[in-house]
Amino acid sequence: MDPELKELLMRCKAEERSAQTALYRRFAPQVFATAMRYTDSRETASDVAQESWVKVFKNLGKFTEFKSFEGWVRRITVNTAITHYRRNLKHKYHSDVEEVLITPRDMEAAKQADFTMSEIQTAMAALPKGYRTVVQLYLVDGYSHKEIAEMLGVDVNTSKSQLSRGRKQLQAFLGAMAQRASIHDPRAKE
Amino acid sequence: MTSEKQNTPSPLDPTQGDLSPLEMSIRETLLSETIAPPSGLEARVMKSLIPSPPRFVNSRALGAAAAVIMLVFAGFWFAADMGETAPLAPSVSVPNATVTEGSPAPTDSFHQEVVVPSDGRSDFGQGVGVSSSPSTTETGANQEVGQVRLDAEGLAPLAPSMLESPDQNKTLSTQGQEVQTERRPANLEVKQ
Repeated sequence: MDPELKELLMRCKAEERSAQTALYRRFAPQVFATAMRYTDSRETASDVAQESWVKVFKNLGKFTEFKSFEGWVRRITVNTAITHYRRNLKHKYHSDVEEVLITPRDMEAAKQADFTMSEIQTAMAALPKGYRTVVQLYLVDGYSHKEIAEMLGVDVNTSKSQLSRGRKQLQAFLGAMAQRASIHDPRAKE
Repeated sequence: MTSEKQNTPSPLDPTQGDLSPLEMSIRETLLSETIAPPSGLEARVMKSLIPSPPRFVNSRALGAAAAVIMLVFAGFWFAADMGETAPLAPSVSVPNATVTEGSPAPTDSFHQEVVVPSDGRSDFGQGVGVSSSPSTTETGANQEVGQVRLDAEGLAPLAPSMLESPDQNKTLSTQGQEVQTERRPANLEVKQ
């Protein structure tokens, strides 16, 4: 672990206010980005981030230096966001599911293209929220289907089917983007 | 929204080995994303970390205490109200009086003569009927100034033996004491 971060964490455990501010400023952009990935608005993300930071400072004594502090904070943020998501879900988990026609050309275009952050964010945002949550938890944050099923309160098979459909839709969206980009600017991808 | 890329590896090593190159690229891109939080979030977080002052007054305990106090006062008020209005025991107070047993009682009652000294002080409680009779004259310290006819039930707690032998003349001295009949209105009749 970074010695500077280690000292900062020690001071935070002693509830030194300046150290808490420094730690917040160092990791706040990552925490807020994680919160934004699981929420629909900046206001909701702010609530999730605030709650996550309170948990981080409250449970800092449980953190050991053998772990990655960034990963620990991210896990807390994801769990807080999922709790927030489930609190506001109210049985609409399957209501936003829709089928998207995927062509082999889209799939191939998606594999060969190199996407920007904005394009990935757009494609992710286009996913139904149920799919998006499972895709993010599995593909991005590395949770297993068992963990996802426990976090979302669904069956493991539901998690698997949601991930499968979400993956296909994500590839379809990205492939469509790549094809549109190559049509409008054929030399863009060369 | 401001985003920037950083080369920060994922802290969570996924056990999933089935990620395609595209998905790995997506994963790394999203994990490296940073977004500047709203300016007011830092103040909110730091404000949340300030421990709230201890609450010395618990609102629930305060409410319960108030309810108990109100119940106690209501109980006192009810008891006081009942004491004023309810026809409780008449109190017959005959200081320095001599109570003598009168004529044999009828079948359902017991007549008692109460001899009151010359000072004539007598205090009869609520529900006691007093009637004066001019035929009674006596001499001596125990001058009989009146006869009080009491219902047998009223004197039963005082002299149960009198009820057993109503034909005997007995004298019950109650000097300086208070004769009470509890919870039953006594039919008293004072004859002078």
